Amino acid sequence: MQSVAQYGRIVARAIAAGIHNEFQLKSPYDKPKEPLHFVSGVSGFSKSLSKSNHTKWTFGDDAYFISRNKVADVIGVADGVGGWRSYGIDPSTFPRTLMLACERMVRDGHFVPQSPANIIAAGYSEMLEQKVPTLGSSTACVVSLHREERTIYSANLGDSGFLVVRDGEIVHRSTEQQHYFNAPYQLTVPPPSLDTQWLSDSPDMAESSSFKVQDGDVLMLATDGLFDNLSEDMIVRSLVALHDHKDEERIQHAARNMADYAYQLSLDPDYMSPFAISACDIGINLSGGKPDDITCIVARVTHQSEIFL
Amino acid sequence: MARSAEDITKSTNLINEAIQHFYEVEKREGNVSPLAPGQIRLEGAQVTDFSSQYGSESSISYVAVNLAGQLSVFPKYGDYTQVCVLRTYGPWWKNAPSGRKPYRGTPSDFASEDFMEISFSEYLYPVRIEIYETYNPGAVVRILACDAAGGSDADQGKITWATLWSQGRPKPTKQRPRIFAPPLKKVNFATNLIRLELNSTCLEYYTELDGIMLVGTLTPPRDEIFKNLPKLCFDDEIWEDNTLNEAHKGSQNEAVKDHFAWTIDQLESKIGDLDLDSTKVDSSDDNFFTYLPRELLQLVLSYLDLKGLCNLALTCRLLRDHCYDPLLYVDLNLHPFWSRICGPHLTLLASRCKRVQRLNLSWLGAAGHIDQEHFKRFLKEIEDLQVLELSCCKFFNSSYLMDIVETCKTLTELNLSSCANIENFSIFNMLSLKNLKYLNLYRTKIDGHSLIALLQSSPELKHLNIGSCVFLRPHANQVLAMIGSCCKNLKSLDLWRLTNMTEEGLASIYNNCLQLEELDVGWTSFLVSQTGCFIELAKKCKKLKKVFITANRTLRDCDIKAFADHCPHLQQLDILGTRTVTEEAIIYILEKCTNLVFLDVSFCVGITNSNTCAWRAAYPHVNIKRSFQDITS
Repeated sequence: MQSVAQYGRIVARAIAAGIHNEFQLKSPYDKPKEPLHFVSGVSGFSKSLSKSNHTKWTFGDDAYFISRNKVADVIGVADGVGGWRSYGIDPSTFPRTLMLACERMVRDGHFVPQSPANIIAAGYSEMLEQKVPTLGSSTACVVSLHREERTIYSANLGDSGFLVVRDGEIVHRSTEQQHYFNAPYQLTVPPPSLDTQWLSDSPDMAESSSFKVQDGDVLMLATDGLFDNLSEDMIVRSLVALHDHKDEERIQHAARNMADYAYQLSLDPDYMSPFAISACDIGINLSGGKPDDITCIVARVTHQSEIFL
Repeated sequence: MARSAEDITKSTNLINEAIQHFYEVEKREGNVSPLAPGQIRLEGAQVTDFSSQYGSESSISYVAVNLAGQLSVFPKYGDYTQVCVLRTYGPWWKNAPSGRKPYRGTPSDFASEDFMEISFSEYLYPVRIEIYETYNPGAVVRILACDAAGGSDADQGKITWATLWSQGRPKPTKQRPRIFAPPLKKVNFATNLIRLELNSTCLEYYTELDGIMLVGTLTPPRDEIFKNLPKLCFDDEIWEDNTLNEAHKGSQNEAVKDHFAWTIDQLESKIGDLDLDSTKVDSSDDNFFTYLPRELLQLVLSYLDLKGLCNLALTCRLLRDHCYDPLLYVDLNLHPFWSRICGPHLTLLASRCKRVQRLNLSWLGAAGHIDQEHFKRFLKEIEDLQVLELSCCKFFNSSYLMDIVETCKTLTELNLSSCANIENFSIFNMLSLKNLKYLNLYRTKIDGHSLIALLQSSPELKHLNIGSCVFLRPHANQVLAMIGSCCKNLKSLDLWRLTNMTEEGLASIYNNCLQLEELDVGWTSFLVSQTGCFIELAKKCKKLKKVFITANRTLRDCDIKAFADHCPHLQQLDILGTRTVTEEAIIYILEKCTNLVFLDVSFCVGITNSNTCAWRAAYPHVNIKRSFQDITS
């Protein structure tokens, strides 16, 4: 009995020491425990330049939002599924409406920052509450930064995604959800009577994660149009430079460059893009970039005091 | 991310620009102007109470709370989700089979039908109130402010309300966005709570309010403004103004009593003092009125409203006697006087209320708490109460409900809409209202078990409204099955946003309630047309006059044609937001249903605006609604 107690004490001490060490390691950054913020920039391209109706918060069939309330900064992207076009339905309506609804949920504070999956779910049900009937489907990825907790919470449904770069390395990333090649998980409002023909996933299927961030971390949230054309190496290389820059212009510029780079490569027929590589992996002989709508949000995690100077 | 300080300035600038623009456009009216020095503009902080809303209880689309916070639509014009929308508009709900007839003796200047109560983050002396109307403006008929200094005590539920502005009738205006800022009565108190009263009956479609701003000063307005105030007049305004007058005289004076209370109090005391008997009155003098037959005098008096009767009773004993005749109070509508009445007033009124048959206590309790004792005593005084309306009564809770069920055995109509404080309806499991014909439970917390118990004991039920009852959702189909088996004579049924109901539930209605004339299944998304439920409904319920299938995306041409073929009496049809209904079906029903007067085809993808216009010209007797959003911006 005594030995058990002793053993317990040793374990407790070890844990305490571990926590202590942890604190010591982080102390240069952590000591003020200052709330963190996103400083973000966004850029993107529409696949078809002719259709470049510059509606707010959209690039082609992609849509995004950047919002905040008292406790959290929230960003999100959604990628409309293009297949609807052949049914005479504008595929950009669904993601745009979804992102608008999410943005309102955030702005009005009707959400829990720790659970962005609920933002997607609430945005989706809010979409169904509108008088205007919306049809279509889209992927969705929402990241929320809880300022006081200094933690990002994410929810991802489909093949959009994000990654967090710290000191030149990817320290956290989302995982892709696909039914099969090029058929991501998606939220759907199907047309009446065709219920069974469409891939339709519930907002509950979204993959959730959380991650402690610190000042200087750079987060990039993008649709598959970017990830299919830029390898992670390329992305990291572009983002590393941002570690020392916190002004909004610079970050906006980086987002612009990133999207630009992806766009150029997507049109290159000889470039072996990540999309082509994964196609080859399953035996489809493809090469070149993947022309797609591209949306890219770059957000640098920054101390609050450095924003409101 | 944009900086929040910048955000704020940006939004302030936007508002200022919009106001500037409106100032220039509406210069003639001169009702909107930029801020003077010392003035502050606050946006609504919180919607604290409201009577009805279009949106679902858990949603943020078309709900009352959208009135608070930043503007999101203005200066756009159209039917948007981010705004505050009421449940009804126009004469359509009143003209439906479930519509109730108006009360006799309602003051002609009382037009309010809905209200919104909104609080602000600071107390300001109100200078201007700006209401941002973004769709079908012109519904606001009265603006009141809570006088925090004049004896209001929110904790005890006592609030002194002062009317800042009112108009007897709503005045719909041009179809464009508007900042409505009517000239307010100057008041000498600071307020952080504003109440808007609205009337949408004259409007073409739902009114939508984007926001409300209170402009005012932190310090009392300068004295000279008060010196220049026009003399407050008598007659009509005396009711409204008396409290104001008294409040001006000094808020320390505890006995700030309004005219109504004063009238009744004084009458009561007179009775005590004089101890009259009727012979004395008759022989007292040769009053001209004594030569008039009693019936004739009664007929004359029957044209007076309640405040007229109270005022007249002050003139002489004979008239007082006549004015106290219980037969004049068969219809007693206290709704227009909600801002003046609290518990003791009910007791004072009780002596003349023996014959009350229809009693409207809607909105009461917002000015002063009505305690249970007064309420109970009042009800006991009434011998044969048949109609009782308690819409939006904050004071009303489960134990009051118990009093009603115990006392008013003869009740045939009960309206508890928006009584949010009734936590528990289990009284219906024990006692019943056997004669009930009309029951309105819109936006209450009624649960499935209590409603089923009530239905079982009320076989006479003809009208039932269970719209927006969130707690019914889990048992939607069971409740509908019970309605089908108990209420064979049902005429109208409102199931607005009973989201969990399916075709099975609808089947128990159309298989049993063959007398059905009115059905509202708006926003019940699990009803799928492909199951044939709407065709069956049309075939079985041939007497249908009003059918609302709002926002059912599955509705098909064959459903519309079924209604056209089988329901010749159809007057109102709402198929907002369908995807597949085509113009052919609409023309078919316009041709076949000659009684049709109302048709809402807003947001129907298969129908074009130009066709709607053509139909309006070809079928002028039908009011074809086509709402819109300005998509381009």
